[in-house]
Amino acid sequence: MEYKKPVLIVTALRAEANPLIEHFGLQPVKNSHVKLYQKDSIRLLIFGLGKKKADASVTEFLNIFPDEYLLVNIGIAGGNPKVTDIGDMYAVHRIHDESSGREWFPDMLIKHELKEMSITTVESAVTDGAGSFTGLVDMEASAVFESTVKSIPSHRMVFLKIVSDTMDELEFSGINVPALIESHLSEIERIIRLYQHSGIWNEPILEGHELSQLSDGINTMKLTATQSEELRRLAEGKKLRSGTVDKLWTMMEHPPESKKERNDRFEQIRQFLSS
Amino acid sequence: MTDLSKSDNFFLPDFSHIYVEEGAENFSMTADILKRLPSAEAVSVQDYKSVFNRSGQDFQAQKKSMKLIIAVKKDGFLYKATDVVQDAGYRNFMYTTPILNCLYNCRYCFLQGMYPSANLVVFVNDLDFFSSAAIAVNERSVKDEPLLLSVSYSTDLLAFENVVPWTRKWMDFCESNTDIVIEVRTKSALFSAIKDENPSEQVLLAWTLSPEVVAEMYEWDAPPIDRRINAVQQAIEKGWKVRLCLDPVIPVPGWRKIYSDFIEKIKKDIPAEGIRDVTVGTFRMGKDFFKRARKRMPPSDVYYQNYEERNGVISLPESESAAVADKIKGQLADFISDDRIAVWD
Ligand code: SF4
Repeated sequence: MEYKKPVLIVTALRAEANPLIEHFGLQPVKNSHVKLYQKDSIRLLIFGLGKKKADASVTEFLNIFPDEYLLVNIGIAGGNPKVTDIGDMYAVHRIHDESSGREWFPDMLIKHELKEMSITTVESAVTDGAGSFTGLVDMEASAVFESTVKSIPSHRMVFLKIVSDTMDELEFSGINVPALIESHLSEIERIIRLYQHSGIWNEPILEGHELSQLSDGINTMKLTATQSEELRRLAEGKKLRSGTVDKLWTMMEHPPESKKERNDRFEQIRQFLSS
Repeated sequence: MTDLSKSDNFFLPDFSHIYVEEGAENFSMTADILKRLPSAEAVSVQDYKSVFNRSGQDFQAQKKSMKLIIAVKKDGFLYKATDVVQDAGYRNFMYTTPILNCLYNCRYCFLQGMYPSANLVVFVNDLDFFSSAAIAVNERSVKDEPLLLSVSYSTDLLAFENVVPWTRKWMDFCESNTDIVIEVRTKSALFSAIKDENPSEQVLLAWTLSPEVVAEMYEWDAPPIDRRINAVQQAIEKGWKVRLCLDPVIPVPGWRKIYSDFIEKIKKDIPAEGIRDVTVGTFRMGKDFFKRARKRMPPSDVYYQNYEERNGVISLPESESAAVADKIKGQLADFISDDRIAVWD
């Protein structure tokens, strides 16, 4: 399938990642500091167990590879048996960090058609039953949210959790993580596809070729940072008012011979764009 | 430009989720709201600000599927009015915010620069609002005039009446406190929600009206102008004297003719004796809100005009504003007396 918009899948465990790597045909990215797999616009990052690793790995990744991602955190979670069923996949609508008490909320804008649940992120595995945990429990969702929200808006974050156990230590050895993920691959693919087509990415007023022509013009004209910013804003306004900024490019074709000429020509451009 | 909207059906309906702040569940208004929206997913939250004020929100994306947040307001129930709000002659003038954000998404609305979120917050501790209003009435500076309280400052209160009957609650409050006048400014067609209330001098029902072409460009998800006019007609038939707000007048290309035709339509469709007064204003917005709103990139030319900044407010140059006001006033001259036309300047 073809994915136009960038997707970043993050998992804590290799066992969670392997079925996804195979399903989407991802290849390891060599020479990267993080455990990264990629095909076309889909990237998958394995960050390791626990909040600290999630935070460090995701932050580093976003510094090196910034983009307008759809973030999809996929993983297993403990579930309170009163409200969840082992093997079922849930979309998370509230993330509660047990140690800090903070809450996080991915926006629920899209008709995903999955069951929803809150999740509590804990520091270490819960082994003695659900106790006071009313929904799901994992060890990374809050850190994933917190470390990505500066770069990725909360309406492009999806947290998909598959219940692997009821938080009873006796169950742990029998958990087959790859099988749990495999049983939901088509659902995961459907969700990613749905978000891809949903229109949740903001389309800029100026299109890609206009932005690059603008940037060429700024370089040719040697505009200051303030002038460049004003030019972009004025060009956006012109595009909205008259549908095109094509005449602008010819006004910026030749480099000015002095600062005075640059400023005079900038003033002419300003007047044109304000008309 | 691809901008798939709700009609493309990828989006959950508005209020598919209701975030309920801990403590708010004890108020009867909360139970009423949850009853009115039975299929919504209720999510319990510790503090409404952790949903509403969180970082990483996209106002325009959230507008495609707005959520409801039910909360208890802790303080700051009434505020002194700002420069950009019209007082229309009242010297004791305050506003209150029982609901934050609006069902509609007018392109020129300051809310998109004011709040980090497009989700609506409904405060349910009505009695706290009323006791603060009673105190403000007692403490008003000009004692021989009533307190004018704008109850729709941060929302369109009437538009939301079928979910939360806040307008009716304020109307009831007015019955027990004669020194207050409330202004309910709206673009909704929902007069039916309050039609059994008796007309009152203390309740200023105020409809914002714009020519069809302006409404389609800038108020596209508010009710069409004919439905608003119809609501005005219903109110007048019931004995209300209404305020008409030609605010903001937007000088689109050909605006003189567009507004001229529109005012003739008003004169034809709305009986002058049913009009209490008219307010006229052009686009204006606090500088910080303006910057933030423009950054959020609503695809609208309203943020790209030749504005001026005066005292921290972005607006048309004074001469242009004055020309617009003169034109509108002149044309209303044979319809309503000059002293009943208030111009924001
Ligand atoms: S109706 Fe008023 S409050 Fe609502 S979006 Fe429009 S301008 Fe803003």
